[in-house]
Amino acid sequence: MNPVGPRGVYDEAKRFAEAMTMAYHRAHGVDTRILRIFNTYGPRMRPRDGRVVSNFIVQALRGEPITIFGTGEQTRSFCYCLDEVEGIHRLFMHGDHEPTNIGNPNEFTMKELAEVVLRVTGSRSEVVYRPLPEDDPKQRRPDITKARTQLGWEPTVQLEEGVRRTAEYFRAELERGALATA
Amino acid sequence: MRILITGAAGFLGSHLADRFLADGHEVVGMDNFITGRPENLAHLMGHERFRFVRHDVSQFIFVDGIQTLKVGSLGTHNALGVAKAKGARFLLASTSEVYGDPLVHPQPESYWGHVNPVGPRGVYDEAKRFAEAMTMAYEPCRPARGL
Repeated sequence: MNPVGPRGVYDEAKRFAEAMTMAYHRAHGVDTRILRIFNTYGPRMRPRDGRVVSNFIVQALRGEPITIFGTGEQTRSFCYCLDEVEGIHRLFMHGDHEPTNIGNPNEFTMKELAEVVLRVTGSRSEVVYRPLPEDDPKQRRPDITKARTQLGWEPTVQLEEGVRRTAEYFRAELERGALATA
Repeated sequence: MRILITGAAGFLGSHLADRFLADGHEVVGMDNFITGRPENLAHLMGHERFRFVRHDVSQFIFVDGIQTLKVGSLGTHNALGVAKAKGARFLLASTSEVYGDPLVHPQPESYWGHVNPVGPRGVYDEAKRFAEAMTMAYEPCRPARGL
């Protein structure tokens, strides 16, 4: 990880927050939990937040080209928001003080995600490729062995269903004009 | 239980508020609406166990990368102070970003990235890394960007 790259502020802020949380637990006995969230998506995402799922869906719904950065072979794992919330709830109630991954281990390339979005929305948007930003991680996928064994948690909503529910939300937002100038 | 959710008007924060209310808990939602949106909580206004407080957990200026660092540092520090004073349980919503561009795949919690942020030396290492990142954030044209 590069602490002074363009992505550094977000990564470092979270790492610092983890270190301080652990220090409060050790020094003051605060009953802490550390949750590591992997890519999460679903209704109430901001349409222009720069995340790949919202970008693709909004582009597809508006008939704009879907932009893939790099070759589209880089992978991400996407967790539906209600699965994530269930995992957070279990961690909060029954977890320990060590970090816990809560995410969906099913991994998709950006190309595959674009195909799912096009299929679910019925959009005829074309797919265009742009240069990969600096420091963009090539792969990210949670090992959720700990959450499975200690919390009895695993995700239940698969990508196609989750994208369908998210697209319904964005479609309604689009209809009430929320995305017109966003 | 009474639950304080910072960033309650955000995407995940608002779903979390729904979940804890559905379980019968009392929820205090806090947000400064910089990235959170009032409409995410509109359906909870008037709920008898929900209260909203407009507040910025870092209480400083807001310039993208700097704001990110302040939420992570000052915001976390302030919230931990509340948890300590109240004897409350505290959950930090961290991120897979701490693994960076991982060399181990998939990533178990035991994978450090390059520095172990929760090890005994983590506080020192992270404070130094934090200082570097903060310095770069004060440079112009260094936007923070999450996935």
